[in-house]
Amino acid sequence: MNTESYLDSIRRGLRGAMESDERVYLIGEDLLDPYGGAFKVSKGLSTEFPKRVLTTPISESAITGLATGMAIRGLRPVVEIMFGDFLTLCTDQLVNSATKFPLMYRDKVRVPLVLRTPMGGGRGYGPTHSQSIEKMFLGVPGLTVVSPSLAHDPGTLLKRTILESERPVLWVEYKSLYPKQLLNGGDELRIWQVEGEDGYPLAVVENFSGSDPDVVVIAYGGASVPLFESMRRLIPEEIRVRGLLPSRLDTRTKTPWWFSEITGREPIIVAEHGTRGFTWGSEIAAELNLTFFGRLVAPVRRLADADNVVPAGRGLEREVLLNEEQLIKAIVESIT
Amino acid sequence: MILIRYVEQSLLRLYAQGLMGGTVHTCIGQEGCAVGVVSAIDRQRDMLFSNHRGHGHYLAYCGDIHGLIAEIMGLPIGVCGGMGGSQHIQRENFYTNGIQGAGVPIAVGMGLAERFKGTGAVSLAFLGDGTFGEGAVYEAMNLAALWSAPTLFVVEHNGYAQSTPSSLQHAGDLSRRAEPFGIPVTRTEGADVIAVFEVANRLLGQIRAGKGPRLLFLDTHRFAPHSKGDDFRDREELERINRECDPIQRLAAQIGADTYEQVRKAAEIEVDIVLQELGVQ
Amino acid sequence: MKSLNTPFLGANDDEATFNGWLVAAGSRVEAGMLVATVETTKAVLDVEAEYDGILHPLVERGARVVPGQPLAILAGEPIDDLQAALAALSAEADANIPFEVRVTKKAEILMRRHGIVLEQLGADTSVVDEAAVSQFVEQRAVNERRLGIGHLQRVGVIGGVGGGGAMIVIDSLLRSYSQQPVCVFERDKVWHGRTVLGVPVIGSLEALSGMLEREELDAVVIAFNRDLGERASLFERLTGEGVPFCNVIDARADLRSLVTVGNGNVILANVYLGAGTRVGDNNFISANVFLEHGNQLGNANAFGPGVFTSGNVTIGDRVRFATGIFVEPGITIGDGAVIASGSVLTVDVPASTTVKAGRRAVARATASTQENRYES
Ligand SMILES: Cc1ncc(C[n+]2csc(CCOP(=O)(O)OP(=O)(O)O)c2C)c(N)n1
Ligand SMILES: [Mg+2]
Repeated sequence: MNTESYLDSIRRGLRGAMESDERVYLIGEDLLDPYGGAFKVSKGLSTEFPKRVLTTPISESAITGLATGMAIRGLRPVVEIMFGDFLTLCTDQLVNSATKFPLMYRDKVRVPLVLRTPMGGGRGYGPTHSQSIEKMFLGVPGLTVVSPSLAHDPGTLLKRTILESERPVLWVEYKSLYPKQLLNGGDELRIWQVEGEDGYPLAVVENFSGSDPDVVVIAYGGASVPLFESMRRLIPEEIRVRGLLPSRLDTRTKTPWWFSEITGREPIIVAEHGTRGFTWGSEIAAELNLTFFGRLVAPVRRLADADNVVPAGRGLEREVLLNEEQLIKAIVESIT
Repeated sequence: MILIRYVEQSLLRLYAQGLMGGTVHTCIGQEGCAVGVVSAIDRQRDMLFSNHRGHGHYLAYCGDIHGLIAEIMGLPIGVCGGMGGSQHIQRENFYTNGIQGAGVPIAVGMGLAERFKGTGAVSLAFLGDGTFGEGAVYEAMNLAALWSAPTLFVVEHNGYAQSTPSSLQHAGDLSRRAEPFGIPVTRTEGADVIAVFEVANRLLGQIRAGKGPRLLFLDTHRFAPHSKGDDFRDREELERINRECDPIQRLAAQIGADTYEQVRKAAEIEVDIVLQELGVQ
Repeated sequence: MKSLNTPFLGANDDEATFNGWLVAAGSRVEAGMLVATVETTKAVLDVEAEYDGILHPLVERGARVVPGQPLAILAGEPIDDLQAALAALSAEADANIPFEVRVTKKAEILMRRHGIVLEQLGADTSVVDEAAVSQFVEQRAVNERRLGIGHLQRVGVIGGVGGGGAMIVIDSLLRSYSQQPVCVFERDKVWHGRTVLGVPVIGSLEALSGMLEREELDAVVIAFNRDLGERASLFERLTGEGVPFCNVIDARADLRSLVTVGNGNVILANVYLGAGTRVGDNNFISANVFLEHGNQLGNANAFGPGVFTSGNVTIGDRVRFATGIFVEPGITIGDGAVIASGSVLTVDVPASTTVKAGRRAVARATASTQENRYES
């Protein structure tokens, strides 16, 4: 049984990628041992691969551009941006260069670039170090956005992404997940993976067995923590929840392949971190309406963080971020 | 300085006891920079844009121990209602934000605004040596010089950014970065608070006289870890700088042991009272 | 007989030291009398007798005591067996605690949905769960049916899993305000244990009589429509055995004035039955079929989607219409005929003939000569 933490898994993936392909470089701030990165994800790697772990100045924009250049010339750079909030500084390189090249040069130019970054709050870091701003990068043509949850195998997925993707990937980790153990079926939640056409599996998690769910909750990344907690708490209440957790935030106009796991006969809730609206969740809700028009038993509900900055104070922060109590309330309301 | 030191030592203790969350970047060892520079400003009108290591700047500006500690503890009675925490603090003409380099062009803009309004106010931007990595810093210097903004750039050069020594980040000489833009640079030792004050005073005078932006380059040392976490720097080297470069020890020598003791006692009592009020002492 | 208990010790203490008795064991005390003290970290608290009686100590000096813990028993008579007396007292106390029932959230929701209150369940367990509520609802439904009041008709669907007939019938039932699909009976074993739109395929028809007996089912309808001979004979056999059939008429079918419909029919969405049309039994009319006024329909006919008949068409039994067919007014179609897709009928069709599709068939059917009009 897998008892890895999310962080260990990611580190294993990075290590595996570096070990199996010499073209993989790690680039970012404060990566060198003994420090090993602000969240310790790269710990040990600069010792093992001293030539291929590059610690950089505080130059997020330049790092992204530089890695784009390296990718164009055949390397497979992995950039770590210390906090997801700082992605705003990478935006120009990512939106106007890295993702543009493969598309406008008709794949004559490849950009196998992976940009990793931790998102989200829960640690009291305050408004500029706790946001979930991946929604700003959804709908950028040519950019794959991935955010595995506790129900996935993030390391294996990361390794494959680094070694195989030919276009820029924004890889979103949630810092709240780092210390947590991956879900492995060893407790009261059942879990299995559904492989999809794009290589990014959907994890299905249930808090019951042998019948149909009462409610379906769709979530990703950091929202898996409050979701699983709410599912555990609802077991003694006999409320059957099926969680659907895609690992890739598909923003193509096409219906997501994993909609095949949905019937529309149960109420559906879409839960995510980040401020509400103009999000992956909004897009999924819209798509559900199109696909299941007339068959949905209830309107799709959406849950997200409050429309505010993420406060530093612990109590205040908890009020703003999506939590298990809100999820439980919404789940119960949806079947009442 | 003594007060700042004691406040920050208390913060580290509170953090270790789990009474605070989030993060704290202390300026222990760098107090001379904060107090020297801020003592020279015109508190009625000048503006400070501080950075993540801003407790010293803040206390030197307004002495609001209660508002600061409460803010870092995430309490509604904090100076920003617990929203900002350690690195997002604002009061009157004092601003900070947690994004490296972002405040530098903002400070230039604030200075320009006051020049356009004719108030004679000067803006100050505090930045660390590591922040020279950000392009915004250079873009801001160019504009400041081009448009003759009344801005004093204050660089606290402690040789490190988080875990990374300056030598692994910067080519060339940081102290000369501003010169090609036509911004005069004055380099001083940050541990000598009186020297810092005098230089800052002179530069502010020049800026106020309409001579354009200036850069004050302060060599200094951070004694404590980057934030509350690990510190992998060389032990002996740390002990040496603690012995030789402590602005407070230098000051004590200048003002005499008795006065120093008096000030230290008074500062500790003041801080302890606040901590008691906040229920953590 | 009452117990004398340790008093509340204040918000900060949940334990105290017993300082010893101020009166001798076995002496008579009066209510209000100071009989002992207990000491917390902060204070010494008095223990007063609350009743008159003989004091029977349970603790001694130096004992650690918690609030509410019995310190002594006060009784009118001397007590021989103190432990037995204590047991009796605590049993008495337990009996006075109201019986607490935990209701799971799911059970609570179901109760609200079905308008049930806890008392109705007469719960004799400490947990009311989904199973308990469902059982109550079932039982109530049985009772209501006996009384003949309200309730959705529970329909069993026969066959058609492989061909999709079951699915479209269930889909229609799921939208019904008066019926609900309950189960599917299917001969083909590969489907057993699976579901169709969430409705379980429970097995072959052998299970049917038991379910009717147990009142788990109200009526059935046949969903397969390939073999119309079998459809007809099964209907006859089951009705002969007394199995109740029902019509499944989609909420969006349009039945106009004076239309009559027999029993066991399936009529799907967007079907239009013009005024005065009569439908027999056991027909299967797919979506978008348009039968104008005055049509006469026999039994066990099957229509694919998009069949259009004009007025006063007469159709016998077991006629199969494929899809996309036009029939002119007044035509008669005999039993067992098969009409291929795309046909346009302008003349009568004798029994047991097959009208093949294609331009030729249409052209010939349009020709006025009677002979060789059909390829059989
Ligand atoms: C845009 C951005 N990138 C990275 C960080 C993370 N970070 C916070 S402080 C710091 C080091 C700053 O070094 P320096 O400017 O020398 O200031 P010092 O900490 O030495 O006072 C880093 C990398 C940040 N806050 N903002
Ligand atoms: Mg520095």
